[in-house]
Amino acid sequence: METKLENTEKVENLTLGNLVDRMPKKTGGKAFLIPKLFILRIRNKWRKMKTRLEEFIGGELVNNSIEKKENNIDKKIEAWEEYSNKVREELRNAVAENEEINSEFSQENEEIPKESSKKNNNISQNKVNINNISAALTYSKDKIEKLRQKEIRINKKGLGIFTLSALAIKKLISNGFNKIKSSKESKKVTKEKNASEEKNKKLMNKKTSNDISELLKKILEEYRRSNELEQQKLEETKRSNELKEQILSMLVSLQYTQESERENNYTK
Amino acid sequence: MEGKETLNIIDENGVKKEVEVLSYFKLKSNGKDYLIYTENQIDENGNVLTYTSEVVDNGDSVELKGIEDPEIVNEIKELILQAINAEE
Repeated sequence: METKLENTEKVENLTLGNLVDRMPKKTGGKAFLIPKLFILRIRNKWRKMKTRLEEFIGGELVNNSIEKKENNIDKKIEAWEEYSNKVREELRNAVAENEEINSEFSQENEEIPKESSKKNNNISQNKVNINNISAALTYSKDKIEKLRQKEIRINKKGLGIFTLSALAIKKLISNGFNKIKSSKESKKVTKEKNASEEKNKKLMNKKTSNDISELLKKILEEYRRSNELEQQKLEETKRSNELKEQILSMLVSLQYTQESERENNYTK
Repeated sequence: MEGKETLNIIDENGVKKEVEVLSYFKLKSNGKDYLIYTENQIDENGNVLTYTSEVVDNGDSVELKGIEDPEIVNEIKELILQAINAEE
């Protein structure tokens, strides 16, 4: 029988398209002695089979390969990798920026104590510090009255001679010394107070910046995990498509085998 | 000197005079009493001359001794400055 399929041809080289094309288009002569109706039936059957196979694999058969689907997956993977790299880069920049902010905070906190200590020195010279320790105790008018009742003699003037304005004298009389600390004590207390305030500020700033960096790390970790999951999904999809392709080629070879058997039976 | 605290004192020359008391206080660093007073003398800048003396109570009489220790003088000077600059 002529124009039969050569046995040396490998099944892998056959495609559905090839098989459909090989079906004889006219009867008689050296072609298969198969009625035209039968040929049409087989062609229809092949077409239906092709449609079902295409539905099964979820893509279009092009030269017996699922090229379009594979291309789509590869493109998707590439796009996802690009996106995830972009996100990682943004997060790295955010973390770096946060570290810059941290270093600025620490610099500011170092500067603040210097500035505030300068201010406090000026203030302590000019302002009353209300506290429990006073450097001197101003006597009341009763004490002066007791002095008045005695004979008062000046021994010597000494070094304690000062000139004061009228306003200063007025203030000295009205304020007295009871609220005045010695200058050493006032500086010490102010310094201690400032030191504890600055320490608290530093701790607060450190805590805030630590919270921010922790949060950013968590976000980065979540993105990494989601990227890994997506990668896994894509790989699974790829594997299932490969399996489908294998099944398809097996079906094709099976169809070929069945059809050739039918042909053999029919010719007999 | 009406409305002000005044004292009658005898100066180094034995002359009696009335002075205005600006402050009578005890210094806690050494426990001594001091008196700041003025004779209301004005200098060329229009400022009032004041004197600070240690008060020594001898029972029936009181002696106003001049301060010779510069540290005490500085301490009192610092206190005066603070009192003047304090908020009322």
